[in-house]
Parts: sequence; C-alpha cells; structure tokens
Amino acid sequence: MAGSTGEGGGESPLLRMAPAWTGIAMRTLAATIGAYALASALAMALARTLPLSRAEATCLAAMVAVLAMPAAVIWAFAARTVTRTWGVMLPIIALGFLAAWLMGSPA
Amino acid sequence: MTGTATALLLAIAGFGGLSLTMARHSRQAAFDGSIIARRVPMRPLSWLLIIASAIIDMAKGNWRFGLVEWIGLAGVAAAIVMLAQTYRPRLVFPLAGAAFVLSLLLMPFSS
Amino acid sequence: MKEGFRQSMAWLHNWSGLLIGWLLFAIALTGTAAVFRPETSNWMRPEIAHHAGPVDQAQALGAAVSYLSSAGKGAPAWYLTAPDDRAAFTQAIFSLPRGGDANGYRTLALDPRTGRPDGIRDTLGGEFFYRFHFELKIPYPWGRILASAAAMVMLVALISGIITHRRIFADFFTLRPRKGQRSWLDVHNALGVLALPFHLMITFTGIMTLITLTMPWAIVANYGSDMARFYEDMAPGFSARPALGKAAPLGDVAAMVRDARRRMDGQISLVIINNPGDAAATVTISKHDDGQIAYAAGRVTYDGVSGRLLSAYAEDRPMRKLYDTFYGLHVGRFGAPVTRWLYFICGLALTATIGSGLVLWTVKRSRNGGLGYHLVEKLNIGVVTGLPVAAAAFLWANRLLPVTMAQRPEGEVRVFFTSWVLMILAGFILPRRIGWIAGLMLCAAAWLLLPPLSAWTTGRGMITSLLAGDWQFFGFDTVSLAIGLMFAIACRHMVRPAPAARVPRRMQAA
Repeated sequence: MAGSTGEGGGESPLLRMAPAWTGIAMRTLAATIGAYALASALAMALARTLPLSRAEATCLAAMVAVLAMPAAVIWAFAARTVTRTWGVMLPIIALGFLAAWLMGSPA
Repeated sequence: MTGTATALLLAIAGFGGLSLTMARHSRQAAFDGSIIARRVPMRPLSWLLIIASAIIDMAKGNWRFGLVEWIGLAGVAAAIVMLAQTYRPRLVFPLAGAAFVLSLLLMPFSS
Repeated sequence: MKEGFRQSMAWLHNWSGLLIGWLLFAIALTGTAAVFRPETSNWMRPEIAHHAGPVDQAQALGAAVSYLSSAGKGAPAWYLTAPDDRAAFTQAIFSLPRGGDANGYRTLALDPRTGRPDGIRDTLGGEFFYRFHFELKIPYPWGRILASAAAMVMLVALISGIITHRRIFADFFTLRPRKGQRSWLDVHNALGVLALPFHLMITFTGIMTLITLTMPWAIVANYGSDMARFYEDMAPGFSARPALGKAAPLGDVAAMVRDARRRMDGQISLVIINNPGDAAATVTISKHDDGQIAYAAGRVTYDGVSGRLLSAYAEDRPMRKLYDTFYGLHVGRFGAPVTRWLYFICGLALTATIGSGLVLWTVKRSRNGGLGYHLVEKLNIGVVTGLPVAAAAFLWANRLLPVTMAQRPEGEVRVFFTSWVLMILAGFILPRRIGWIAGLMLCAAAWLLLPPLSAWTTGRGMITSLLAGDWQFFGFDTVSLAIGLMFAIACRHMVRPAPAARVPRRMQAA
C-alpha cells in the first residue's frame, strides 16, 4: 500500500525507524479507538452546546457523532502521514471533551 | 400502479438513451453513426426522460413515498439497460424506444 | 497525491471488506428476509386460515385481551402487535414469573378471530430473521454492538469503494461476462453502483437504529443517569404509572382501539397494556407505520379501567422527527407493496454485492496461495452457500417438525444453526470446486423443493393459494422458486466451463 505509511518528507523520525507495519497499526488504532473517542467527544460537546431543547440537542448530537465516525476512519487512512492522522484527531478529541466538561452538567 | 409503470418505462428509456451516448456502448448497439445519433440530442433528451420519470413517480400521492420508490425504480431500470447492453446490445435502442412510446400511452392514466 | 489517496482507499476497501464480509453477508441476507417479516410469519403458521378482505383490528385485540386475562395474568405488561393488512395474527409478548424463554418472555401468536393460540404451531416465524439481523443470536448487548460495528465498517467499505471506483459512470452499464476476474469485478461494481443509494441509506440508517446503545454519550452528557427523564423527553405522551396494587378489571379494549383508529386516521400497530388487572392500568396504542415514513409517528394512551383518554401525542420536533424518519427508512414499513419489493430486490443486490466481493477477494489472489487465502476461500463457500441453505432448512423445519413438539421454536432455530455449521465444515473438507458446486446445488434444491414440501404437509399449495386469492402464500412460494432457480443457474454456470469470449463482429456504418 504505497503512500500510506508516509512516503516523502513529513513523517516523524521515530516512525521512520520503526518497522513498516507500525504505520498501519497506528492508523488502525486511529480508525478504531481514535474514531470512537472523537465521535464521543463530539457527541458530548454538541449535546451540551447546541442551542436546542435538551431532547433535540441530544438527538442531533448523537446523529452527527455517528456520522463523524466513518469520516474519522477515512481520514485515518487517507492522511498523508501518520503524524497528520493523529495530529488532527487528538486536538478534536481533547477540545470536545474539554468543551463538554466546561459546560458542566445540565440544570 | 400505472404511475409506477410509467415512471419505470420513462427511466428505462432515459437510461437506455444515456447508455447509447457512451462511445463503447453506442458501437456495440450499432447505434453509432445512425441518423438518430447524428440528429437527436440524446444526452439532454435522456436526462429529461429520467427527470420526468422522477416527477411522475412523486406526483402520485405522498411525494416522499414516491421519491423513495423512484430511487429504487431507477436502479431497476438501469439494471435492465445494463443487462440488455451485455447480452443483446442491438436491442437497446428498440427497447428504449418502445419504453418511451408505452410511457406516453400510459401517461394520461397515471394521476 | 491523488494516486496515493485512491490506493489507500483501495487498501481500506479490501481489508475492511474482508474483515466483516461474512458477518455483513449474514446481516444483509437476514435483513432482506426481514423485509417480508409479517408474510414469513404468516407462511410459517399455515393453521391460520386465509381470509379475504381487511381484518377487524378492534375485534381481534378484544379477543386477544380476553384470552390474556387468564393466560397472561400476573404479567407486568402485555405487548400486543395488532393484525393488519399484512400480518394475519395478533402477536402477544409478556413475561411471567415462571417459564418463557431465557429472559422470561413468552411470545404467542393469537388467532385474529378467537384470540387464542390453540392449534397454531409454535414458531418464531419471520421474527427469527428480524432478530438475528441486529442481534446475531448473541446475548444483549454484545450482539447489537457487533452488528452496529459491522455496519460502521460497511459504511467505510462503501465510501472507500466509491472513492476507489474511478470511472463510476463510464462503467455504469458495463458487464463483461465469462472473463474470470474481470467479470466478478463487473458484477461486484454493477450491483454496488446500481443500488448505491439504497446501500448507503440502509447502512447509515441501520447504524442510527442502534444509536442509543452505541453512542450514548450525548445522552449521558445531557441526562446523566436520569434515564427515566430521558425516555419521557424522547417519547412524551406515554404514561407508564406504577401499579396501585388494587385489582380492577380491564375496560373495553376493543372500544379503545376503535377510538384510536379514528383519532389517528388509519390502522394501528402496537398496543401496550401496562399493569393489566390493576386499577392503574394504561393502554397505549401506536399509529401504524404505513402512513408515513417516520417510525412510531404518534400514540394515544387511555386509562385501562375507564377507557378515558389520558394523552394523545404526534411527534413534531424536527430533530426527533429526523431520527424517526431515519428509523422508518430502515425498517421500510411505509408505502405501497412496490416499495417493499424494491427494498427486497435492493437487499438482495446488497447481499450479492458483499458475496461477490468475498469471491472477488480470492479470485484476485489465487496465484499466491497460502493459508490465509485458503481459509478465506473455504469460509466463502460455507457462508455464501451455507447461509441460504440454513435459511431454507429453517423453513423446512417449520414444515417438518411435529406441531406438538416441546420447545418447537428452539428446535427450528437449532436446525438453522446446525445446517450452517455443517455447510461450513463441508466447505472446509471438500475440494474448492466441488465445494462450490455442491453448495450451490444444495441451495437450489432446498429452495426449489420448499413449495412442494409445503403443499404436501399443509395442503396450501401454490394452485390452492392462487384459486383462493391468497397472494401472500402464492407470492412466498413463488419467491422460493425464484431463489432456487437463481442458484440452479449459478450452479450450471459453474459446472459448464466458460467458453472463450467471442469478439463482436465489427459493425458496419449505416
């Protein structure tokens, strides 16, 4: 699979030293646990921040989150480098959970 | 039922026409170079038939039901054209033509 | 970089497809079977006489309630599915302190006229395929989670497949038969592309139906652990109040059903009676799914003893309605019979897309051999031919197992799984080509011989059904023959080696 483990510049030196399958393993991790974490973070953040009634917000948040999962999976394998894969997903995950936590529990 | 049948026939005519605008299928169907291929704007006409098919299917009763039904119907129509192109390419144009004529006949009866 | 992207998507499509191909084949096949769940359930209960004309829902439910007053006494709730223009019987589910299935629930099919289950053979009916489709016969919640995960991978496989397929429209009408790997690729592409809107819709909406289980975090964020409040918010108008402990006879349920039909302008579907026999009993009646795309579009609740209307609710919140529409699109109970048949055909196309994909995987790599390749090859035979055989075996069991047998529904299910396991074993033991031919032959025989078997054991053969105007039975037998014929053609195709493709003569210009 050409281009998946980060040919050309931009791949982190650590990964360049590791065996070839590490790239795929990292991407698979991103596509499974990473994608689910991203979706969950998105679900919680949207549920708490959408300007809709509680029931409506919960509904929409869950539906958007579920759609985000396959998008994350595609990104995990389409991103040029593994660094980029996680580099985009980790901030989203962190921001999502942070936003939900900052909003606190509902009244 | 007539509405559904008309929509299906229009879709067959439309997809049949579309397939004949593709070089490879046009050649196989002995359509390439024929008078109709040279004079009639097949591609816009075919799209028109496909859109008409959708409109007729949605016009009867609940348009949402019609839309869902039409999406499935379009796939069936395309499959029929595909099978014709594969096994009897010379019949594709007659098939599309006959479907078109039949749909015109049924149209007054599909409310 | 376009090339790298397409290549990685091709890799993803290959491996995601292989990872869950067999599981998805089973989910797609049973889901397709579930399109005709009421019809299958009717066919599997031939004792219920065919009746022409619409069924009287109110009368049927009244009779059912009379029967349940003794048979279901002590149950906290009775869940009744009313007969309608498709299902000939009333389905009653309730739990009793003793007996029933693994969860303590009993499922009964009640005759619409008498309200009694007597004489009707005990079977799961079409319910088996329906439940297998999203639970996979694996204990809650793991079966559903697995099915949902498979659907998620399916969506990835679809999207990566679309991205990989560069010339979708150029290849739209192309099928090149008898060219080995090329032909398999064409079949896989054709089936995938022609019904692509369906494939995308059904996969995406399928994920939606299990969303409360797989993506509960939005609920947790907004409701914490207050699930009662969540259910109340999601489905207002359903008054489930605690039992008072005071006995009181249930009111006139038939009258409530008639009133509900009038209010909701059409057929009703679910009738849930909470705390029957108690003074705090309630009767909640849901609108039928055939009038609109959205699932469970409305419900009315009556006081169980007095029949007084407690609440009437029609969902009109946009996001909630959107979800209900997704759900309704997936179960496809709306619309004309044509729509249902289209769902069935597209479902078959999806099943065949997955099956052809699995075969394509081995056809592409036959030169490399190796343990993994052989494993995939053998498993393909066991699943792609084995599952249709198992499904037919399930129906054969319905006709052959003694009606008075104890644990009859479990017996039919056991036949299904035993057949499947045997087919998988046969796939491993037999040499490749023989395995395929034998598997396809068995499929063809099992489905072609089903209608004669049914006629012989029940007396409701195809001619009888045709003369009586019983289109359901006739249709079911016809589909059975069509499936058998399909496998027979596939078998013949395999047995006669493909002749070299003829080069078409050059066409003369007109």
